[in-house]
Amino acid sequence: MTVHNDGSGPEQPRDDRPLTLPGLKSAVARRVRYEKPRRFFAHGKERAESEAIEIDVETDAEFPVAGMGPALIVGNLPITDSTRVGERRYRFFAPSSAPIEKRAMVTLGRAGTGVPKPETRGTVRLEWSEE
Amino acid sequence: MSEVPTKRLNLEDTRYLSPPLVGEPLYQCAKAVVVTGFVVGATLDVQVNGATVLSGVPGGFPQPSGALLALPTPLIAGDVVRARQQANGVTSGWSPVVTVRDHTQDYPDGPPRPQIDPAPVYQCGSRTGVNNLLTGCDVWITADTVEVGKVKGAAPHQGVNVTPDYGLGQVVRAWAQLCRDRSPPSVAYTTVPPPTPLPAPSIDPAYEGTQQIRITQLVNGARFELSLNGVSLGIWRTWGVAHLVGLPAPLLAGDMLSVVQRMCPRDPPSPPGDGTVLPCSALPAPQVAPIQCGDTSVRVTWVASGATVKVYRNHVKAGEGGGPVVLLNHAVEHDDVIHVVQTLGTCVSAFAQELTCLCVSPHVTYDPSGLDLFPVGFADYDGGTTSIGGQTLHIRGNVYYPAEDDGANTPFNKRRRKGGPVPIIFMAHGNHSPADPSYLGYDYFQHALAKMGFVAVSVDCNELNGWTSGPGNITDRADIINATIAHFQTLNSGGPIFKGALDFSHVGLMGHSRGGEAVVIVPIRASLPAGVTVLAVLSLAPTDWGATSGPPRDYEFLTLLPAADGDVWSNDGAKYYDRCVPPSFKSQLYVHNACHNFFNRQWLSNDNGGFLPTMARHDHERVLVTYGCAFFRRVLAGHGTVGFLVGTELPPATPTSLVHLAFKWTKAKTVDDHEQANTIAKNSLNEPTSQTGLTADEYGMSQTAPNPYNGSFYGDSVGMVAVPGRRAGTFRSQLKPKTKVAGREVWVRVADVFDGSFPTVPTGFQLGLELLDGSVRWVDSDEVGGVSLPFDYGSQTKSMLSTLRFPVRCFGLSRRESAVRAIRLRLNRKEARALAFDDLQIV
Repeated sequence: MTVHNDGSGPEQPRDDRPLTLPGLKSAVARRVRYEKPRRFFAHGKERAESEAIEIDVETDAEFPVAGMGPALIVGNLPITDSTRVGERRYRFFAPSSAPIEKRAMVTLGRAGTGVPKPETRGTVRLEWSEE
Repeated sequence: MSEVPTKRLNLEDTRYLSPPLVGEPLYQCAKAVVVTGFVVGATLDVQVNGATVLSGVPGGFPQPSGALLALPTPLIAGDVVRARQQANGVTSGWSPVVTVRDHTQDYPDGPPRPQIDPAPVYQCGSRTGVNNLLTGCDVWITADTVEVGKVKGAAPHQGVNVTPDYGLGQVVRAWAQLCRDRSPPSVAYTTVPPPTPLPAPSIDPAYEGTQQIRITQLVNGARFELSLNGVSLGIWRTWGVAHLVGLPAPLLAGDMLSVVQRMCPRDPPSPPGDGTVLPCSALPAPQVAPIQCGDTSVRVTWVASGATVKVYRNHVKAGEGGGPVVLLNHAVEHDDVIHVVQTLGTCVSAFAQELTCLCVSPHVTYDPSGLDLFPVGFADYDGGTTSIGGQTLHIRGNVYYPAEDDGANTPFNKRRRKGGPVPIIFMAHGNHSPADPSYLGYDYFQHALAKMGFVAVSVDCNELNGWTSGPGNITDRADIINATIAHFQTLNSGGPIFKGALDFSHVGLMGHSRGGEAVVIVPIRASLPAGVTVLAVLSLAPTDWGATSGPPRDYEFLTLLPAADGDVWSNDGAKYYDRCVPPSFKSQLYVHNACHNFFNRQWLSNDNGGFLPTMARHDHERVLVTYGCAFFRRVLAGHGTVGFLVGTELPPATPTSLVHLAFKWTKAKTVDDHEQANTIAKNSLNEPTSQTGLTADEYGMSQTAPNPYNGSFYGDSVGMVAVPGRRAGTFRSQLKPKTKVAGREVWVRVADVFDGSFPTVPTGFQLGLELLDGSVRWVDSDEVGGVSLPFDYGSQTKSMLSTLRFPVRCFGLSRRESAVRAIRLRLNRKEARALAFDDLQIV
């Protein structure tokens, strides 16, 4: 017998960004001085700096390994230089001159594609250590 | 295109018979020619230099590949060859002439490599198909180095009967020769046991009146026996897949056909495949390709076995032939109505295809990735370590190259080397799990490039893969590519395979994802070795980590943007395209239903998670290999393949309907690219513009522009958005006085502006040429390919501009009207939407 009404529900909204980002648990910044200067880039231009700000973040899952990567957005400033330092722990690097506020709101976004925008809820504030 | 009942049409038959076609190209020493397009049962005449060398030769059946006609004497370079047909008391005109060339003009390294096609080859096989042959050459087959079959004067795709039948485990190769110039051997195939049990053959629908049937599901090398109404008609050898069989008399409705196939004598035959001949009333309309205005032929894409095709122009017969190309007695003009029917004896298909020509409807031509000249060698390389960005990185990867024979570390092809050093292409993958050997993922592209004579290197960047991110990760990738180039310079100086073989003045780059960003900056890095000239950069789904600075310049540029990219979702390559200042041209492919990962065979998952429509992995590879080969062939070897990027021709077996092209010649006359700070009121020629019935202004078409129209633009350009009013509105852009346009095309990039709600039907516009007397001739965008719907990416749907070409021939200008004074854009759709325009050019 033909079923004229199959009772199908509405289609799930499209997931626009299937490579999902983890949630942010904490972000701790410190000023550091390197013996060997570190590279930073601005507008495609490379420069080396001996003093920098490192921000260690803890997440609730790993970032996907892909073309895009993590962006840490401190206030309105996206920081895209990063490396993984442990399980669900990442270190972001910013030049010492970066305008980072003491207790800025910190969120995660994605870098390497488009303009980094906050994609996690902004409940974490930046903390500073004295290392 | 639609199917209409034939009876209603009152089609008028004339005694016109289309000329057949002589297969091109023809080369000196050819002992045969191929003639196509004649009707079933026609006789053929062939002339060489005006002298008839073959007269009244029965052509047989035009399907599947025409008639192979042996010549009394081999051809000589400079000979001109033509043919005609005679049927039913009518003689056609002569075909277009084909001028014979010396094959070394087109193939300086010898005849192309034969292909055993189809493969594999089976034990007990009795016939083998060989493809990729020069018409009229000699072809032979060896099994374990012993010749087992030969044809002198071969067709481009030739069947060769082998005696004895193949044994198990024999190594089978095909060879070819023209003018005592021998080709490389084909790929070697080792015979394997045939399928058990053998499948039942299948018979395509056969219709009353036909004298030819098509049998499918045949095994390569099988013998099959065909019976009609229980009486055997004989046994045929076949190279398998499908086989067309000519019959002694026309079939009648209800006739019973039966086929069985056999391989090894000790094994049972297949079950029979049966078919009943259908009545005339069941004969469907033929299938034809779209027609472009100005075409002088119709291309048939399907016709019943044994049928003749008749073409009517405005209800009067204008062509009759056997296909696949039917020449017409007059070029198709705008507003002509074309009907195409097929006939079998006195039976006419009940339906006709009805179509009109489009101003732009490019034809499927040839596969730019199909050039198959050389065996392919491959090798891993290891250039030791180097220090990059404070890290010690290995210089390693693999390389594919034209070789003496297939296999690992085989010697470089001697003839190719003798012809001078060859262009070299370096490929770089992107970020992925370091556990996966990502550099192996482009082997199909490397192989395609190597068999046509390029060297293709894939750089192992795995030591830069993982969770380290930032612009430095991109510059490091660029530097490892440059270190690899330097290593190959060393190999070119004294390596065992590549000594003196590599041309570093013709270097191409292909990068994917982060590799796609890296290749953009490779040429400007200080690490680029001396003596290297990068001519071509293919940037596939590139990221933008901010490693680039200023416009990409000094190389030709192609970027491929997967519309369903779940990783680099913002299609950042559009920015590189917009910024690029190439010496000659730049090209962009915005590929609907393409994801990020499927271009790399080591990247297994669909990055968009299946939430977006995604074409099969094979289709991703076809897009990259066809358009990528077209690009590198054009730039690095000077081949005539740019038409695939411009859009004047289409590659076969590629999802071209999903590929949306943007293309720009550097030296074309730009009417308006909106980059000058002279407001919307003036164009790039500094001539005035005006607008009525719409609202048009200039906007930044990027994510960071201070004055965006909306957030749906992801390139880096300034363009115009025209918002329609209630009625048709027009934007007028004035030209320099008496601008000549005869023989040229007007190009404009256009996008349907995504405004947050996804449209259900395409929109469009008209482009007008304003003549000196003020009158305007219009051509609709639908006539030139149409404005594509945006690719539905939810809230991230993009307004991505593609180039539409408006040939001036389509405007119906007379010779006196070769000068125009303005170009107009008219938004005339009932449910018009805002359209974005950029790069209005006269080409």
